Amino acid sequence: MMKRLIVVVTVLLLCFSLYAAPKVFRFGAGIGVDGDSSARTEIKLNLIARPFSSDIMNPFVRAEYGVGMGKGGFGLSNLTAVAGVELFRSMTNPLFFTMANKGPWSPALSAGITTDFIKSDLYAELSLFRVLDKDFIYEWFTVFAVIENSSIQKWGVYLLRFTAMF
Amino acid sequence: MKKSVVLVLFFLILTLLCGCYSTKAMVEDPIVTDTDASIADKMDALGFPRASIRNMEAYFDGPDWVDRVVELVENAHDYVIIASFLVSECEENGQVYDLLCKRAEEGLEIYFIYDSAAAMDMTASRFHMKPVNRLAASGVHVLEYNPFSINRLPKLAGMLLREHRKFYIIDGRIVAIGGMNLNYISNRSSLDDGQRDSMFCFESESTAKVLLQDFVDFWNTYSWEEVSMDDFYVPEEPQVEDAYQAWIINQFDRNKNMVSTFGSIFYSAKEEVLILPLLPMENSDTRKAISDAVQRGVDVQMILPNDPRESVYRGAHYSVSFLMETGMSIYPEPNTEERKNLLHEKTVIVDGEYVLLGSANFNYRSLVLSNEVGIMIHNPEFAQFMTEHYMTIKDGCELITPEQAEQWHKITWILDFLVHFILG
Repeated sequence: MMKRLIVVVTVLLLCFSLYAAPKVFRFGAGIGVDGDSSARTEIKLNLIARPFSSDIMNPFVRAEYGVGMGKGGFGLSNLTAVAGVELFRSMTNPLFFTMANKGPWSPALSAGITTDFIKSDLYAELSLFRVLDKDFIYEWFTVFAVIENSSIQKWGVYLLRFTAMF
Repeated sequence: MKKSVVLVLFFLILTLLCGCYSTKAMVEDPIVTDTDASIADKMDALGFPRASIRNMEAYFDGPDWVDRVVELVENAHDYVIIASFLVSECEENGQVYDLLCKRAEEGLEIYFIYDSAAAMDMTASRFHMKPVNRLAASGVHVLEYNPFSINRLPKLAGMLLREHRKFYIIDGRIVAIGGMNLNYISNRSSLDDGQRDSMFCFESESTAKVLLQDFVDFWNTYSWEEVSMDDFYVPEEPQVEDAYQAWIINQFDRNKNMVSTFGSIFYSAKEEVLILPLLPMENSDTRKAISDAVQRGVDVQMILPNDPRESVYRGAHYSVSFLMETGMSIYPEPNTEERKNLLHEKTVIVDGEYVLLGSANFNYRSLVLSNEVGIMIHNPEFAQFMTEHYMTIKDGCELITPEQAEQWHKITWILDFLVHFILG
């Protein structure tokens, strides 16, 4: 338990230190809320690195950790680490009404691992309702699946995930 | 778990306090605090770009300024750039918004920046507000700065940073800066219920060029409709003998140019600093800078506006006791019918030689929590003009007494002070 707390604190401190970091918009920190098929809801903090700014197949890596409740009671979530790509950026944005300024629609696909530090599984997600400000990523209804031995162990939906870029 | 939470909160507060929000440079930067160097020397040493200003026009009433804006936009050939903190459409400025739409539809490139706080305008404008959405629909390039939205919760600390600049750039030749927004309270006459405010319009290709370079950087940081300096032609600046010498102070994205500027004023002044502030709520660094000036024999004086917004009035007047400890002279405006409208001017006049104009209030928020633009003009003739204007406002104001200040230092007003110290 103590080890996990140290991880949480470290992640949070990293998030906060980013507030003072130079503004380059290549790194980000955010928060998301999900629910999965095992009837568990989690709130997770994430750190993201997006070193490039390409309009097509723009890569990123992200790590996520948080707390949740439901099956298994209240406790820390799995640590999830993924690599992904923003498939494209289109200024024809069906989600424009959600934004204050004009910004692109940019669906993303990512895959990686999720672990409770004892056992690791494959993880994949598709974020279709995803729009960008220069300094923010907004995502709604991102679907994900945890895969064990080539079959879906559980699936879920991120209701929202908002990530500030620095 | 409790220990972890305390630890996280501790580091959060430490980050906020020590990182971006310190004004220490005002009293610790050796360039700023050199009492032998002139303001001109310091402006150069701090790297503020020099500019040359011609045909200065001063506007002290909203409708006059609106008429001038209409004229400027009507006569623009190439591009217009407008930044304003609070914007909303009303009867008083409808012609400006009509014209912006018309000219954009005709092909004039118009860039329009405003702060997201515009929707939360708490002045009398809130009874007359219409949104400015139609600008974008007409082809005006619009940028809402740092939108207030639950989506942006992860950048909570960053939400404090607001776009407070008010400036216009027309065709790379004409520039205007000052305190007037494009909203009801700024554009209504102060003889009715508009606020008392100022805008300054001048010809200066050198100023336009510097502001344009900063604009391109700023715009590209936040907008996906990227621009480049090649999009904005700036004509050659004619050499004119009676041009004012000036320095441009553009504070955005957390540089602390206003901290250095105000510090330079207090540590270089020899005789007199006259301040027209809004919400003068200062922290210990600013108070020390004032106090150091007073101890050198400088007469630092300020007119305290009579703010009709009750909470703001309480907050600003609560802080007067702190300011009196510096030894400065404070002249509160009397609560009379002709002064019932807010005095929103932001000007500092130093030794009858220098004048600082622009959007920055003289307070902690403008020093570190807002984007601000200012211009430091070195011209005794213009300083004389502005001193006379200051004296007109000061006329009828009496020097505050310690008893008066004590009367305003009510424990029940602390909350108002704290709220407006941070939020303005």
